[in-house]
Amino acid sequence: MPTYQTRLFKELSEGHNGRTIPESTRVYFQERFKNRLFDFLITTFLREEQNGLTQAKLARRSGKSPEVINRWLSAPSNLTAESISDLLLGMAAEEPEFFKGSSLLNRSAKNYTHLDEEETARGTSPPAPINVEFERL
Amino acid sequence: MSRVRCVQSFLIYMSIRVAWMRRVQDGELFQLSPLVGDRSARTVLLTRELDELLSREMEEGEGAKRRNRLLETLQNIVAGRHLVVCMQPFEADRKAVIGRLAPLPEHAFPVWDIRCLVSPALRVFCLFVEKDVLLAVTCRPRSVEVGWLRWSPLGDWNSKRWRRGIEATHSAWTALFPAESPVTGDDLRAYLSNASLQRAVGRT
Repeated sequence: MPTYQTRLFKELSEGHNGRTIPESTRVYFQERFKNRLFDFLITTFLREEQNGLTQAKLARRSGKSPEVINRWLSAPSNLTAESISDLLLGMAAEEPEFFKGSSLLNRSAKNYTHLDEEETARGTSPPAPINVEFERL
Repeated sequence: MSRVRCVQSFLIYMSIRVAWMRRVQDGELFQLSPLVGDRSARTVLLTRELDELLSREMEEGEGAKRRNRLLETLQNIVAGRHLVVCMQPFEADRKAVIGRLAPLPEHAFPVWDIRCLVSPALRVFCLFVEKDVLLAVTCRPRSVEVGWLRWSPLGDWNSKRWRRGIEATHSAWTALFPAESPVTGDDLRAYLSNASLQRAVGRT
């Protein structure tokens, strides 16, 4: 496993009586959470765009100004729980299934890369072994 | 597409993939792993400089926090999450995670940057080896000194430091792939899956 991975998991695996999780690790997971949330919101918005949703309509439905909606859908940001709820209601009358806890510990490396998928689609064999990443893990 | 062109493009695809995989196997490039358990929906190839930057020991503090944000920005690309891209040089705003830089007159292809916008902002100079495969060459501070990076801030768009960053990226490409060209053109779908243009997301 590369150093940057082991560093992140060092204190996480210590359990309830473990040391304080370092701020840099917490910052990493905060950033990851924001990126995942943004991905979830933008994917939902783009899906609903196919059904005729626009930012103007979303602003009206969720009772927010177009500027606020534009900002929220522009980049990962510090959205409040209330804002997330308003966005999802306005976009698709949905509740966020996104918030399902899943342990970060004992996750196994996925033996999948986008390159496998392409090879399958093309009906060809990979030109060279592609598990370089896993040799390092 | 004619049969001949189809075969040609397939051979080009084969050769560049063989080339970058060989560089990884030879230890000249390093493939960024996603967080354990995540899928690798894209590939980010790191130069030794960047691999060392992400791997080296750092004391807890502002530097370690910023570096972990950088790591997550890069792993977010690998995980295949939605990316907002600006293809117009000088027009990227806070929406864009990846932007195309103005090409230097002497270069055959433009360089891109991955935009890590949290203060102190950083820029990772990169090129697209093939669709969903990025070569990340060097990381530079955008506007203020960052102690754990050995580079001075890039500063204004027309500064020599921007030019040097672009030149370093171009040189790295030429050294690694002398017979190949990176992805070029104006079709976002040729570069990335699950991505949209800066303006498309912002429309009302």
